[in-house]
Amino acid sequence: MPKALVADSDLCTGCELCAQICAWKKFKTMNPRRARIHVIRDEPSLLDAPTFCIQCGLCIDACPTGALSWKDDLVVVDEEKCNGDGRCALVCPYGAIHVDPTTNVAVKCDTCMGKPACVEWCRQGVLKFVDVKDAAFYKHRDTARLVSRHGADLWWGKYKLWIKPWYKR
Amino acid sequence: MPRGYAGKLLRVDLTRQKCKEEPLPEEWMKNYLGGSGFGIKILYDEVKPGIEALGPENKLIISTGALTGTLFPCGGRWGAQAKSPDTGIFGDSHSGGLFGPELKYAGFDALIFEGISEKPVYLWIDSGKYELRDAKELWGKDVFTTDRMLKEELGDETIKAIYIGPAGEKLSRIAAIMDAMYRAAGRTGMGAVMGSKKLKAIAAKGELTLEAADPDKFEAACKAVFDHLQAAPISGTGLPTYGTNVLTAVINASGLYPTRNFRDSGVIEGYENITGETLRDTILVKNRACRFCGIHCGRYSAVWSGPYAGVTGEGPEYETVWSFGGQTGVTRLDAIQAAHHLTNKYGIDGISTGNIIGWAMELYERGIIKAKDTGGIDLKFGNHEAMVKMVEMIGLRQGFGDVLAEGLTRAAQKIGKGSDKFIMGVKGLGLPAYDPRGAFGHGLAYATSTRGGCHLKAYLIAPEIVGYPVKLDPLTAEGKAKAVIDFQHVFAICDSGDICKFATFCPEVASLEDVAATLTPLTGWKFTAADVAKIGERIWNLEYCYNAREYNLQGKTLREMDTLPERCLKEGMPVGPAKGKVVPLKQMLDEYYKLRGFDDKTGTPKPEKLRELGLDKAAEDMAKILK
Repeated sequence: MPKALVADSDLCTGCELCAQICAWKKFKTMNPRRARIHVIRDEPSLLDAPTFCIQCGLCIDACPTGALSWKDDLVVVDEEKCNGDGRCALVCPYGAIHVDPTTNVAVKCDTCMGKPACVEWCRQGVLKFVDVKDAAFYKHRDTARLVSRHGADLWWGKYKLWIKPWYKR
Repeated sequence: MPRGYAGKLLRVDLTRQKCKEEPLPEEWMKNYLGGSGFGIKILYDEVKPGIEALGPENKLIISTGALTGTLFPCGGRWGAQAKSPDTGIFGDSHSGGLFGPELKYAGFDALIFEGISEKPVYLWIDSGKYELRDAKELWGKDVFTTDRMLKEELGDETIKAIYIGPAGEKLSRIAAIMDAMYRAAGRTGMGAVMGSKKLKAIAAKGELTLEAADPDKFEAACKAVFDHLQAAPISGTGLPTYGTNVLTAVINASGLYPTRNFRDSGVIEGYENITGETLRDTILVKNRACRFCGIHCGRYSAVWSGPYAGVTGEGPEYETVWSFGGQTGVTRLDAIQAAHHLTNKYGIDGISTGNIIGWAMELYERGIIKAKDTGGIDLKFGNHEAMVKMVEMIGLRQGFGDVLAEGLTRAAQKIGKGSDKFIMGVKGLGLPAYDPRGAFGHGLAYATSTRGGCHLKAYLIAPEIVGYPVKLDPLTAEGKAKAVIDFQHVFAICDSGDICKFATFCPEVASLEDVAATLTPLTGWKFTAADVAKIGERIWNLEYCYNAREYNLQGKTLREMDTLPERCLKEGMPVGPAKGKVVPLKQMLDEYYKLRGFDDKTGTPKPEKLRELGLDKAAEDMAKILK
């Protein structure tokens, strides 16, 4: 049965170790900017969360050279065929595929071929690698949080307007 | 060229507004590792003793270490070094957050700032390119606004920056340099040095990468550290669950909680209201972490109700819970978090600020200062409104806050009337949240610390109270000198690594085995744990020499400065398990100098010892002082 990378974003603290180990595993270099998983740390909205590829395959159709294809349950890049023009990055709704500036080849998550290092290095238990039939729950929950957060943001915005922080009063 | 380093340092002449790249000498990497090591090396060689700390001759060094920005968990740190405007000796402060690794990815291991700029500027480093930019718009803004404005001005949300707040601009001697809004290099007033140079911020964006000499071994060694951190009880469970504030309950139960300016030390009544457990049950929103952390002790809190409703931000930490809680007698978390938030906002050191407010409160209760001095503020112990108001006044240097912002020594000179008797500090730096009368070894660590009264140059609370790595009896002087010396070398390595000291809560890092095991495949040089400890000893001795040189000019000796406040030496501990105890400092200090190979009359390092460590220049200087 295929396995899926899922997240419980509420537990994320924004430490970026997942991105650090990702860049390391793929390039043997250290800089999270070269990773395939990204951690967003947005201050006013108190958002710490990883974003990564969900293997939807949308990029396959966008690729003009046929460098992207399914291999088992994963979307993989054929480095020979990739011309680095970045149309895959254009269509990806998650920003999960990008052209690496050094190699000029598209890079994306391949779950380390079934043994994702980011999951191993996540001490908070945010990232999980689970069977697809279990993955549904995590996806439902993150989607539900997304929807409810939107409401909470509106409420939080109003709350903040209504009750000014004491030091601004 | 060894791997793991960016390999360059940037010298910024603010007077002439010129930047110059320099290669990082290999000798420095091998013998000093980075961080404090680079800082003290540069300061000792390039800065003369006796200069004005807020003048143009002082140099501010922003440094990273060998392990900063690598795969090493807890390796996301940076440090700031300069002659301290607060204590007049070696100033050194470190912070986690986001900036340290980014500086290395941007191509520099260290930045050296010289001279004084005519107008406010900030430094922008973008993957090896750099420029000084006008900071007219940023000047005068608080820390949170500065962070936002920098990101908007540079048009990039992914930049990482460090900056000073209004306190640093106004040369408050307890000002901090802030990173990622809530993380501070707080102690010894590094923010004031940055402010005196009219340097508002340093922003970095890095797309360069770091490599390791032996990738497979390095990864395996780092994973071992990661696993060791998770397995150790404090770094794996205690700190992630309750944050640093896990200590409030522990230290109260052990009876060395400094209460009301150390006057009623031991236990504070109502400490249950401010423990890490209560924090988790009440105002905690979520956990936060510095970059590449394997522990995750950060808290993000929000106060929902009461007079301080609407305060959101990271914190509070154990130290600020004490400084705004135990030290001032306020046992409410909302007021503490409000004060903590203001220190972040204005960029001041939480420990020093709380310590000095507690000191002022004692003076007020003793009638040394009156309501007319404080501008009508009723500075009684336990008055949370007065405490929070005072933090704001110190941050903005208004009214009585202007006096306190000068730091303990200078404030006591201004107030006079014997107020210096109640200073709870060592070498001018306010003591943190452990009463040495309940842990003698920790008292020796305070007394001999190279930057003044601080718990981060040797943390004897770990063996004496927590019982880690071995349990030592806190109420005896036996064997403490040796334990302090070993700890000082380990912490010198943490500060030059530049890695988090909480990593030493796992035994493999504390014995330096894991540090050597990661440094060897990273740099390609062979290190054993003993080699690494030797580096720590070298750095420690050079820091001592720097201070000896400064004190010698003032006609003081280290021996008379390596001491504790009178209260800890003469007045017995008021309550708790250590009731009636005082610190037997002389006995421990004699043993300490003997084991260190220092001159036991003056506390000056002996030339033979320094030559053995390869510090020839320092050996000559010390020979002159000893004559």
